[in-house]
Amino acid sequence: MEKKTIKNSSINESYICLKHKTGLKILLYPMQGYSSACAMFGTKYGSVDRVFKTNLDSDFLTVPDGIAHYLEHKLFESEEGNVFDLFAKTGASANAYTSFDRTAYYFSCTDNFNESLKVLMNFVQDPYFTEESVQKEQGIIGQEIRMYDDNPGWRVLFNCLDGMYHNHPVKVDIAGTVETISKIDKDLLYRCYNTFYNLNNMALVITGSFDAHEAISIIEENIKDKEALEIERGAVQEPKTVVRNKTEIKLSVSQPQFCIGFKMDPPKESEKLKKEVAFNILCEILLGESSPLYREFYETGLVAGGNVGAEVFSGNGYFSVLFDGETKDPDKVYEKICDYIKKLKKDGSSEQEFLRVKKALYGKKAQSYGSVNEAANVLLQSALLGNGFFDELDTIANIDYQTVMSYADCFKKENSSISIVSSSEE
Amino acid sequence: MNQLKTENIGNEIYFHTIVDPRFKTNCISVNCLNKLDKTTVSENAILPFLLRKRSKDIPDITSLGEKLQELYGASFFADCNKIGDNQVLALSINYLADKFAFDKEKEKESISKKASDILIGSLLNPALENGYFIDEDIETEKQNVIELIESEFNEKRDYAINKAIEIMCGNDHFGLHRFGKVNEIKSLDKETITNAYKRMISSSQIHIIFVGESIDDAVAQTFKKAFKNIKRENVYSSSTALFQKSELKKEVEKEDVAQSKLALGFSAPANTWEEKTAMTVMNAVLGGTPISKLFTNVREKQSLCYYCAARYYQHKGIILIDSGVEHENVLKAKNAILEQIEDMKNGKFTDEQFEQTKLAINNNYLSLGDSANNLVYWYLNQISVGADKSPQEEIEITKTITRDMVTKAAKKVSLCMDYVLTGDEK
Repeated sequence: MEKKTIKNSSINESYICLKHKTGLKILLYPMQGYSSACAMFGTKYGSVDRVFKTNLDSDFLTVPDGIAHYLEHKLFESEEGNVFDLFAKTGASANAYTSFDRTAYYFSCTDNFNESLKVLMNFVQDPYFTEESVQKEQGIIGQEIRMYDDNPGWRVLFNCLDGMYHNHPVKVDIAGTVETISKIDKDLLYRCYNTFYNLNNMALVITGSFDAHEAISIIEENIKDKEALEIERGAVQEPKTVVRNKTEIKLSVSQPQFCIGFKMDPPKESEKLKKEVAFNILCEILLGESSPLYREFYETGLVAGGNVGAEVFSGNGYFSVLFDGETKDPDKVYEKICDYIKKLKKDGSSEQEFLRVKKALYGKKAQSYGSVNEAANVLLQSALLGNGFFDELDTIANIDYQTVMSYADCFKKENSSISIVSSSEE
Repeated sequence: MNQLKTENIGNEIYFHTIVDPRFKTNCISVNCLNKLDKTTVSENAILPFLLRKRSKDIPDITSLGEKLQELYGASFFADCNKIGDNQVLALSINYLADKFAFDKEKEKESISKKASDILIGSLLNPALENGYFIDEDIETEKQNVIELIESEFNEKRDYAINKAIEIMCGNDHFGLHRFGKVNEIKSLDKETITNAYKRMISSSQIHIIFVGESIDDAVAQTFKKAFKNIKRENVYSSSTALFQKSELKKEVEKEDVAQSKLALGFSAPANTWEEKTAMTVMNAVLGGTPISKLFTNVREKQSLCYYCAARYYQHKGIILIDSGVEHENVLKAKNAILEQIEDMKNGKFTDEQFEQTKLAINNNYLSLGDSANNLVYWYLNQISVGADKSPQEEIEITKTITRDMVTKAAKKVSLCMDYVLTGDEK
């Protein structure tokens, strides 16, 4: 396999980049002096991928909501038994997650790394679904869905997405609903598996304490050679406008929770990282701890401790900025945020503030390369999206004031939506 | 893994350090241990938040925010925790390790020195007016702490666990909320709070824990100098008593929830370190891993839940098992859980489950050294009960635990609390 080593001199770290003939992307980030290692085997397949076809199919297929997540659960069952039993033998701690645009299977361990890597590679490449085992999972996932039904943070987010997106499947709950998952059967699972778990659509990454040479041998020995498939994901027609400006539900909460989304045009692939970094900086200028808005929220008590979270929410066909928190007066918080955005668009920030905020974001990002598990997640994302592992760090270091300020105009109040979860006791 | 180095820098004031070149994040944590007591819990709890807000040198939160951003995005936390019978008031800073500072900055003070100055300033030079904390600060921090207490209601799983502990403990102070009570906080006056602060400085056991990539003498000297002339008297000597087994308490709380949350509390006494470790292993075999009795039976075999886990509060000798289930399955889940405990008492767990669980536990201990934060938390837990065992030492004790010791530990477990949070009308 062709091997490249990429180095970042500011944090003095490097990683190895390989691509297998099946299309599998392999990224390795050895970390000196660490005790643990983390390996993640992931696919570019998440909850948004409900409509798809491959180069071998004539028509698009639409699948029930929640199937990517269901598949993740079912992959842990093999013909010989439960995969957790295999990891238990090696002492590794294993888990998996499904998000909007990817599914990842991973383990971390401090010993027996090679054996654990073999287990990971084999179980992800070896699906085994039966009607009985599919049926059994209905109850478990049903309870997972119920758990999230009671989670106001989860509900307020999805209602915000529902308020913003007319057609894009990002608004659909990742686990689906009890009703949609009842339509999942083993044939559908195999169909989704055979499409998206094609190695051409996947990546394997390793971070921490491991022998790169040995890891590469094990990977090569355990890859199941398959013809690379080209996947076409259904195009989504999504207007610029939001669906509604406000969505409100009642739950058992101590005080209202809010999530305000500013919908924006999804950028071209080549511009994506720059836009994400620019908005991370803009959000820190708007609501970071040195901002006037943070101080106003804190000192008036409109938001206790000034704690408003800001997140750039970006993926295939969607880009928005989300602000969330708790407050007795969500409408007022919305108004304040819009006022300060207006001010930012008109006056910009000072060069000094910009440089200081950049320094803070750089420092936080640099620290993340010191965490075995966090680095694994970033490495997997880089691999699946085709970015460099250090690209975000470099972009933060090099982005200039004009570029960042030019993005402020993307905040448009008419393309924003507030979601509120208020107390059912009132 | 580097051992903790401890230096006595005053009357029951300790400076602990671990230095390891692997870290990209340094942590400095100042922890003031006090007795967890219903007469002082609320006035103590507000202190870290008040001290963080501003100090003599840092006049407002905007200045604080700017300073932290300048320090490469350092994070400054105020917190108040329960560890055994101790209420631990903490101020901590996490920041980018010194060697990653930009070149031109390296000639001036290190990031560590600046972070230390912020911490010491906040702790020892608070912003006072006529010798008292400022009214406006007291008002905002009261609100912050009250909202922190009240918002725990939003996370129903945590809420159920805390409620179960509170009711089960009765007069045992471990049942107190770590932040005290809302009505008590509301009625705190500036005299009480200021006296609580003075008592914290003169009488709490103070443990400063530094975990980082390197430490220069300037930092150690800064702390030594700062604490040298503090007047100390009646210094708290920490002690934790085991929870005393009580008559079974039952509570059913009705709320608007989609899923019932079950929390069962048990007394699980253990006196020697060996007994505590045996109980730790017992708890993990019962419900600490995906191969545990609870996971494989209550979740996988019976599909009753998504989560069913056991946690062991080692210092108090309490085990808490919790699960989220369909309303109509509460009794079934409870019985399934109790059945697993009976099995443990009768030695009904496989050799594989036993050996592999020990392997998993030790894997976890070994990986602690990869995170500065995890090491701070580990040692704070040890220090709070007058111990200083490293994770490595705990691994060695775990290896010596036998099946008989585990069964013996299980036999001491007895149900004291049966709590359900349910939306079921019946």
